[in-house]
Amino acid sequence: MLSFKRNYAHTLRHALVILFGLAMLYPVLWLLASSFKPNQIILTDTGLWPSTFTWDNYRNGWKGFQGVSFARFFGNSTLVSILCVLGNAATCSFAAYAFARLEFRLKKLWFALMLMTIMLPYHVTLVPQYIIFSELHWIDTYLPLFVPKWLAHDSFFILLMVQFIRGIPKELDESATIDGCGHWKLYTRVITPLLAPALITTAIFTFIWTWDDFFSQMIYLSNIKLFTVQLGIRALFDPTGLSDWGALMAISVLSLLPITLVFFFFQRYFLDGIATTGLK
Amino acid sequence: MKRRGLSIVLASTLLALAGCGSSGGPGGDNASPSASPSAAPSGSASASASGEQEQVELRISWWGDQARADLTNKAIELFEQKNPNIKLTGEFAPFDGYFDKLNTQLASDTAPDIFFLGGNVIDYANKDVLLDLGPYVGNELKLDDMDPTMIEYGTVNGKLIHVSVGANARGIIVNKTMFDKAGIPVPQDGWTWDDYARISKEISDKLGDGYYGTYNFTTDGMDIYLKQNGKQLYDMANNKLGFEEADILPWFQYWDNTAKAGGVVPIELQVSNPPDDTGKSLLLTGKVAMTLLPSNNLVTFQGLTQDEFTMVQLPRGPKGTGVVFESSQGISGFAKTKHPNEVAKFIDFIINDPDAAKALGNNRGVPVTSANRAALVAEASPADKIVYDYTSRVSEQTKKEPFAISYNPPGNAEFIKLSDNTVQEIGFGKASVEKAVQGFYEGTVKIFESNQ
Amino acid sequence: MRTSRRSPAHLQNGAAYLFLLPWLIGFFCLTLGPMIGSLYLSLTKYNLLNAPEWIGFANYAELFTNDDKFTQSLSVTFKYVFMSVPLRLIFALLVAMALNKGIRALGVYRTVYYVPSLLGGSVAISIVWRQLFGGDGAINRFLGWFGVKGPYWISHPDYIMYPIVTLAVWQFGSSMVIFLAGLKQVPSDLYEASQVDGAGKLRQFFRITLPLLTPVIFFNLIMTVINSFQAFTPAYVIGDGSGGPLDASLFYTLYLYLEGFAYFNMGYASALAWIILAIIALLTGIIFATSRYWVFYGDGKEGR
Repeated sequence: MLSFKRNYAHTLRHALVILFGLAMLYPVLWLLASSFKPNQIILTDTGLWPSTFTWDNYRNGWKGFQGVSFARFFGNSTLVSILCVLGNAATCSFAAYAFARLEFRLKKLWFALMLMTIMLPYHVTLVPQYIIFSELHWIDTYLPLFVPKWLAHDSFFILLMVQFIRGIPKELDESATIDGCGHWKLYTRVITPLLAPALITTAIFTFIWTWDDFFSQMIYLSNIKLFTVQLGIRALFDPTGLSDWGALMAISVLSLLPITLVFFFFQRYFLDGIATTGLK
Repeated sequence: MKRRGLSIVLASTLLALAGCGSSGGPGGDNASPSASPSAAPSGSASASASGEQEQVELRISWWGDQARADLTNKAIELFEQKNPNIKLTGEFAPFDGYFDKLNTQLASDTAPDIFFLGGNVIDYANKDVLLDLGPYVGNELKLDDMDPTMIEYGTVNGKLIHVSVGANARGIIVNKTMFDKAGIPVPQDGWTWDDYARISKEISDKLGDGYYGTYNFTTDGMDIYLKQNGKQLYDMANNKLGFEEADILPWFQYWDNTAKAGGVVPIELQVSNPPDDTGKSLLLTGKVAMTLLPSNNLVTFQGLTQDEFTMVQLPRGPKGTGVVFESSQGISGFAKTKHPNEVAKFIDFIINDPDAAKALGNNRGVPVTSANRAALVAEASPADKIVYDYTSRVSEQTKKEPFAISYNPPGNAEFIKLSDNTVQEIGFGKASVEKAVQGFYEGTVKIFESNQ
Repeated sequence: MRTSRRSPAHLQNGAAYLFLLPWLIGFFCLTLGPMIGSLYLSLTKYNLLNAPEWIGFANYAELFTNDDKFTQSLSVTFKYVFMSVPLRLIFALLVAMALNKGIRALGVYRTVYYVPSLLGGSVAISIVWRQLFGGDGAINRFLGWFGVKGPYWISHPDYIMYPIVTLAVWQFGSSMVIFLAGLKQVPSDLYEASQVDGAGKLRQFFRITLPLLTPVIFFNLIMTVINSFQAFTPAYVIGDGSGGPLDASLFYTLYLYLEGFAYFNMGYASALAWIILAIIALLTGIIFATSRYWVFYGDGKEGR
């Protein structure tokens, strides 16, 4: 009797969680379904299953606009993302190594400043940064997008890796030092391999944030040929009004694909990464 | 494959960087392998005269929808065929975002070499960002066949900085099919604003829920209304505002009353489906029967629906219709372009080459040279004929009732936003008409002063 | 250990500063320098074309006395923060608790609920939102089944905040994952002990779960508040990009962007930036200051 009741409650909760999950996914499913509907019925056919199925939207959308195809936008986004990922992984781990393992003058001061920059809203540096990049004639190039990453600008990841390196037993360093390793060797041979999970977390977050970034790309890029996927979508959305919703939906689906794939491949690092950084 | 693509883009980025460092010129788009180092800015005039095969890449931007983009791209293609050494990359955006983007590009020296401007030329002329086309007139750029008033329009402070590419006259676009359905006769030239309000309401009443007589065009029709009453938006000769708060209050009141009577599109629909957005306009879906539009838009609109459109002159005020046949938009060059000769060449192509006229049609207005007008009249569509008929009626009218061509006031973009906001304030019931208009006038003065 | 700290011989200055070099350059050129720069610019009139013109505190005076858009953008942003942050955290906590009860296939659910956080920041999803909440979009059709005629969510100034808040709440997954990890660390013997004492579910929640979770809530709260103040893409794409209708989507960041990059009032935009910095600092300061009254560190940190 009691177990029946408990079972019942259990099933109910399960059903609720599933139902709620479906509701959560509805916008994504709607987007996916719309991308396969013929253009004329997208706004009238409300069902999640397309009554008529077509690939045209993908074909049309991929063509892009003004003679620039989305292949180029995806290429551009990939390039920018990769440059950012490499920059963040390298320079943030350098800084983290220094903070976690080395003793030096003013260390406490720098560390405190680093912590403060994590919480600093970007507004306050936005205008001068723009002016600096503009003076350097970097506007309309990718430099303003990735150079900051090569200067360890995302301090969040420094903190993440400092925490991680602190968890690596110091004995390893010491035995390596006895073997005559310098700091560079210590960093590359001992720390980096052990740091892999944190590096991966850094890499995938940087990738996703860069891929999704809209604001700085919009500010710094104006030549269509340099457009990223986000700018391409926004541009497609703008001038055509309703004329090609299907293409817009199809490209939107494609734009979400890379981050979704990265997520599924690295799910473990992802969720653990969030959980551990959150707690420490 | 992937790696190759990557290294090419990387190389071009580096090239762009190097190029910027040495010449200080705009943009990274000229970084294609063909961009030779000989294209130094100082020697460009002589270089293009002597070296015929020098490859030049230009960027051009305009506002509008996909249909306009298709026409413009066609014209660009023709130009490229006739000038194999010039390559043009087009960019376009909707009217709203276009000028924000252009401003950003101008300020950061990354503006396109060629861009379209409308009634806000003055704003840009004052910023010294427009190319002085004077030196090219008679060489690359021939204006002999162009209407002198149009040349004058593009000449600010003695410099030719803008070449109009089309002329139009604003008028009331009327969905005849809806009038037939409602059993109401299509209005005729010479009607009044009272007629307009009455007919709008009749349409709404006869056709029922979800159908409306007119869009609210308080903002777009403001300068016309002022001219009909002997005032103007901007007194350019004396560089001051041409109206007082009391002059404009009745205009807002008129729209408020007409809306309350029930002839006007509800404000939230107006926001979500603006009249000139061809993707969403309720004029095209047969839900709204009339609004104020530039005559060149009629052809585009007619092409997108089965309903039949026509054009009627604006309702009259004390001084007449207040409408003139004027420049709808034109082309300017970027002051810092590296290839001013090619820019002039392109402008020349657009206004003088009949092939360009045939590609572009009347999309941006009636061509400004008689040769190109003739080229179009020869193959006019029924919709084109309605436009020609309308613009000739306006021209006749202005002979009897002349009105000055209007320039937009400085700070036009901000002013338009302010005006739209005021309409919404009233429409959403956030403020009384009097209070909203008071705020509107204060804001107008403030914008005007801060843009001096 | 003690000797190493005192004697300079053990300092590894050279190597350390070499490792730190990129960050240091970044800190000075991209953070500290620009901060000083924007403080200076906020006291000038600057349009990027002409040299900055010193005008003292005129920008700030204008902001506080004569700028309706500033007050409007602040009120819009605060409305957004105060609506979206609590809702998002409550959702995250509730779902995390539902999932924590040893449900089968936890991984799948965790993924399903996390996906929105992953995608929510993109332009694509903002466009989807615009569609779903359109006049005849899915949301209004759904309401129509119950005989409710939904408003024009996107184009009416009284309603546009709701789609934007919904989008933020929809992305509760990242906070939920953190809560889940927190819940796992609550020792189960505490629950068993309280069950023996005959405590009800609700009482357990308020006596055990909630207090032990406060550090996690604290962290989530700080991060969500800071992030919420910086929201831009949803306001830009769901609204009309210029704050409309009637400035109801004029988020602070959007206003700053328009002033700085559409109208090129760089000095004014810098003043706006410093004000939002002060506000965020103040708010996080308050959360930090009050934290010792409500954040409970189970490891006895306070007593240390």
